[in-house]
Amino acid sequence: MIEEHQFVLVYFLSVQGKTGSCAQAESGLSKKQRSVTPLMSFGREDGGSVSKRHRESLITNFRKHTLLYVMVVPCLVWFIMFRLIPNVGSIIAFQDFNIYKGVWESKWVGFANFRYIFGYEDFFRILTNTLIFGFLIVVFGWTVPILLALAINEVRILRIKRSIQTILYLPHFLSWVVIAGLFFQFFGLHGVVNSVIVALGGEPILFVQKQWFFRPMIVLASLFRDAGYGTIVYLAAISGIEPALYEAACIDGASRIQQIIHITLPCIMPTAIVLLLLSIGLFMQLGFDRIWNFLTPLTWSVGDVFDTYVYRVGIMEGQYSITTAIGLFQSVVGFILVFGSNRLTKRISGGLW
Amino acid sequence: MVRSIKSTAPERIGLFLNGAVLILLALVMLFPLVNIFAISLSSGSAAEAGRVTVWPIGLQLDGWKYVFGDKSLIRSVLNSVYIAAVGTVASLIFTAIVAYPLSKRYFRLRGVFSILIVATMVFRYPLIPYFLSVRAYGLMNNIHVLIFTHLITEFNLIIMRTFFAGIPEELEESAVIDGANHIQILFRIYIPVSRPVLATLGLFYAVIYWNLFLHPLLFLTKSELMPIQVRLRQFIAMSADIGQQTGDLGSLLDLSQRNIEAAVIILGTLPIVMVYPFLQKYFVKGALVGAIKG
Repeated sequence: MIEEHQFVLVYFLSVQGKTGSCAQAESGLSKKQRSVTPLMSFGREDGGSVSKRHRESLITNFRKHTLLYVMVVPCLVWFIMFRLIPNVGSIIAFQDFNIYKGVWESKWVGFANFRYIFGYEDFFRILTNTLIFGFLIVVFGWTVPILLALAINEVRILRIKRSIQTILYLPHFLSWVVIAGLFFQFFGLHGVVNSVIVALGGEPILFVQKQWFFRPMIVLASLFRDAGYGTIVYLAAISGIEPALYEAACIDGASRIQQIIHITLPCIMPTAIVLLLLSIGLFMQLGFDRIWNFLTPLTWSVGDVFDTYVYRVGIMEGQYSITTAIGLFQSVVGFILVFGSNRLTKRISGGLW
Repeated sequence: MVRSIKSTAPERIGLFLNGAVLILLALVMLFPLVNIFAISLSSGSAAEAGRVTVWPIGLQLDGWKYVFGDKSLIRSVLNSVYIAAVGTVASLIFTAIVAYPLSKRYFRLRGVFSILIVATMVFRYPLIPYFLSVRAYGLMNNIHVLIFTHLITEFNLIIMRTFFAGIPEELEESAVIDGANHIQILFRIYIPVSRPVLATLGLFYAVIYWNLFLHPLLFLTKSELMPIQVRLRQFIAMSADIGQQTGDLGSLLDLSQRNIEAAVIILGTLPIVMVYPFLQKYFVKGALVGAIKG
């Protein structure tokens, strides 16, 4: 599973040096930005002309640097075992897979599994749930860090600013199990929230177990965990803004709010749009842990998403072919989303590859 | 930062309010952790009545005594510590060994690897075939499956090779003149100069290993192999499903399920909270260092 904190780190790397001047932001998509090398292109970025002139055959290269080739062997084996074979194994989605017969002996059924899931009530329920969660998390997960970063940036006393950042980053490193545990305790029957409600004369509410509150709870938990951490990118982008811009604005008599709206915000916009597009690309990958740890039998109907359904029906009940078909559907849609958003991202900055 | 030389009165009020709201937010974010810690140290009756906020009421250590007396729980903590320690070292070495050739521009297979890595990142393998293939390798109920499956994280690999690519070539060239081979260059030169990025990635790997949850659920069925996160989930699920914490654990003790759950949550968090100050020092710095591209 892709860990979001690493995504943040990658964004962090990719925004370095791209947010320096505001002129870029104001003139829309500058050409200079477009020439920034994509972060994950391994071969092409450095000195293409040089390597063309000195291009040697693979065999010469191998003889000269045999040890380098030996060094990538373990990684290659690892990729084949844990990435390639599982992908190839997706063919069981087109089979009536039987664990005792294995991949070779099982009967081929074509698209029967897909026809089955598309005519299946559960499928649309989990699709809807996944889309709703994805939408909510993209919307709130994108806007809240921007607002937070703008607010943190306005804190003048450095020690207070640092302390706030320290606390806001911390929950990102807690597991979803722990976060769910905190939420169950905090919003539980004898938790602090319900103690307050009872003290005010109300009836206690089991927030996490109530269907109506389940989605807001997941969004709240996601913000609790990741919103603070998400500000790192923006704060880095803000620190790269030319101070002369603010000085000029001051001389022109711009108020603080005007400075935020007309300088800070346009300057972090390219970064923000890259992040938005990439988070849309990860739309389908909610992650198993995030939802599973909050689920109770009472909330299955609103909380079941692809990841949890595949685990429950596939792993626990052993319906391998059907759930592989669902997983393959998820991967294909995810691929299209990531691919598409990368295409769009490339227009704004280097993109991911 | 030199911004406006003089702020107007409404602006100063706005700044003050902004700071106040953020401090309040930080306190609210910290509150659940402090609360849970206080509950773990409170008396069972106070915890059940929901009277505990930031300070333990009816201070007692029985909850923690119970936790440390639970052998299977301690076992799961040791499992997690083992996985996190061995896994982090293994991942760092493995990632470094692969990142090194990929950082060399004269290495001809770079392009192929780039496509391989990006392709597997963009097209996520479905869970079921992944589960079936790892099971077919005979790794079920082998605790090291957690390490094998996480030896490389694609993003960490990219960050490390970006850092390696930024190391001056002169260092390598002079070592070659002295007769060193690539493995020696990696371990004697590259790794020592990469300490900041190794610290950052090491801490990220450690957090991944400590927080593993789905993988143990998939590949481990024996309870004595379970890491702390899975045990913690069992504690939480028990009370979450019925909506409240009930059950007298000791007739003579004033101890509730809630005390114990709170103590286990703290146990599942403690190592991270302990390394966090170092983590924070490095993860912003390390990210900045990693930004130096070749």
